[in-house]
Amino acid sequence: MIYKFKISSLILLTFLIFVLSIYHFISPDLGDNYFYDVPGSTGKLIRWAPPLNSGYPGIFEGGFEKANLYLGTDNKGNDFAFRISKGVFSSTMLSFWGSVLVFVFLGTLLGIIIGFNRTKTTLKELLDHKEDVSRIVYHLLQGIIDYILQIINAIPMLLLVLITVIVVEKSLYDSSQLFKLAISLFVYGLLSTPKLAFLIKDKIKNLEDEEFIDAARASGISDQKLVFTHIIRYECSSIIFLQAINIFIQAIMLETVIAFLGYGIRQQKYETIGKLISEFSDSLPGQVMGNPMAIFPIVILLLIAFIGNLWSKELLDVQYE
Amino acid sequence: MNIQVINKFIFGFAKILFTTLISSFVIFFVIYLFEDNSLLKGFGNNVGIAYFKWLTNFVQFNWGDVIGSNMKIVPFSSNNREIGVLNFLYRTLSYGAAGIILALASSSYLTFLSVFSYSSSSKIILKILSYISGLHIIILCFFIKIVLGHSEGFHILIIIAIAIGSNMFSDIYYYQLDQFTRLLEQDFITAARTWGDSIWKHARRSIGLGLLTQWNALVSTIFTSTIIIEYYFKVDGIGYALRKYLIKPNLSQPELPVESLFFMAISFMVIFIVLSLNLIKNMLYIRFSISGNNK
Repeated sequence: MIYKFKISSLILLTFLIFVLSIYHFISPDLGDNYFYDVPGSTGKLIRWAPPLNSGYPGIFEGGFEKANLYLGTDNKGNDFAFRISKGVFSSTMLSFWGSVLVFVFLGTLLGIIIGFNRTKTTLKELLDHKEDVSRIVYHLLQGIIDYILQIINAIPMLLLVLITVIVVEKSLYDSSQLFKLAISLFVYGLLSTPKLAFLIKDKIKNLEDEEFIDAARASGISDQKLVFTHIIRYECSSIIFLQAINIFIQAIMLETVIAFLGYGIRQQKYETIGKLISEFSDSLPGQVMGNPMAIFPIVILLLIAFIGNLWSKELLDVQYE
Repeated sequence: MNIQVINKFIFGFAKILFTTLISSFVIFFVIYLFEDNSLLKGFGNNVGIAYFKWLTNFVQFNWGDVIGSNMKIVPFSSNNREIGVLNFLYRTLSYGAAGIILALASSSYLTFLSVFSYSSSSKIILKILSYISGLHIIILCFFIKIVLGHSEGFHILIIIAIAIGSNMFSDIYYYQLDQFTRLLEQDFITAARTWGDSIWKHARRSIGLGLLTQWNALVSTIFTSTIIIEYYFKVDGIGYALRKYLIKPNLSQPELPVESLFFMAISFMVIFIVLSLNLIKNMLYIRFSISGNNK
């Protein structure tokens, strides 16, 4: 009963975030017509919506247009729900296409390369048995890749990401800010591959003595099929999925951190969660011009983090059953 | 002292030096290659030669200047006209150590109670803490600022946030739950229970070894968390140094080159210290396991 309640509430929350992220497709961006501006700045007087009007759902009549503002307006008079929806959508998309894809593919590949030995495990054994040169070269390559991954794993991630962000900001000064952010997140995905690679390596080492591996080998199966079907697909899929969820959330958080440091998106036409949070961090409650509605982006971020962690915990339980 | 232990220490130290050189070269390479008119280009036209020159200067404690505020970078500073990198690092390390000790001690104690003494209240506390731990440190920063109203300077809450945030506590907890439940099934624990002996006396060595194996993963997390916390609350440390001398000047005067000498000095020292901590952990591991075998 509790389990069913847990799962159904999780699905509901995920659906809520999904609806929020596609809301800006459903309600069209009408450009300047949709702009509830303070009087004077556009020249045309549209009915003034009070700054950050506390999310009261209602209808505001403009000079020419009429629209539903479900979360009210921000402090410049824009539709708050539209901005948040756009921010959630672009944050999740950036995180997925920028970090998660490279993390999953490269991590799995490197994990297989450093983990999978066909029979012999040490260089001395290979030399004693006068094995093929290609086998010895492969063995040395494994050692080198393993060492490089260990180096990357030892360095604190934030330093590397920080210097990437700063250098990208400097060197690609004329390209779009979304592209710069995507490169930073890509580097984050690239640098966190060791985590997945070591997990897959350990899993392959653990499975080395299992009977089904011996049986598959005895039946004359090829190495590629053994690795990709028997080990990766049936044994490592849960590990990969869990780590992918983790990196997905961490990349969204990293985007917040980058925006918070001051290097995030500042252009008007793009929105991310980090941009919204850092924009409203001056009007958080408890300050002079504080407003409770400024918490909303943080609440959305918190909700995404909670949902991801809960899903991964549920999957962990499934894995151990 | 065993001769094997000494050999391991010397080999490990050489490995640390080599790794630090390679990883600092990677950072040097990235800055050198991608930043136009970088400060590092003053060392030469070739990346390798430039790195070698920088390294010789670095070894002679000639760490260069910060251009924006016109201050000298030194290892230890005693006045306001110099930036002491190790002064900042020392503070960051002490905050991180406080956080890591708090996390390890509380998690061990509560998990010990919940597994060996079947205490349900500690189980509930652990569950709640591990759920909070799933939040990134930046959300905890916002939480401390909004709800508790703390905005600047040191506070005991930030040590607690370091100990809990960024999956730190839940990583330790899940590892220890697994380890302790396995320990509960061991024969020597059952024997100790039947004698009526203290379980802690018999289990503590295994628990200590288990904590040491987690060290590698924790150090990196704790550094990241501490840097973000220091950045946010302006607490003296590496995060504050980066904010003051690297990021704020770079944002306010984008035409100036990045303070790459400062960043290289900080990253070299951070990588060296993180790897040395890992070596100390390896040495402790060997010492514990050898003394365990002798008994």
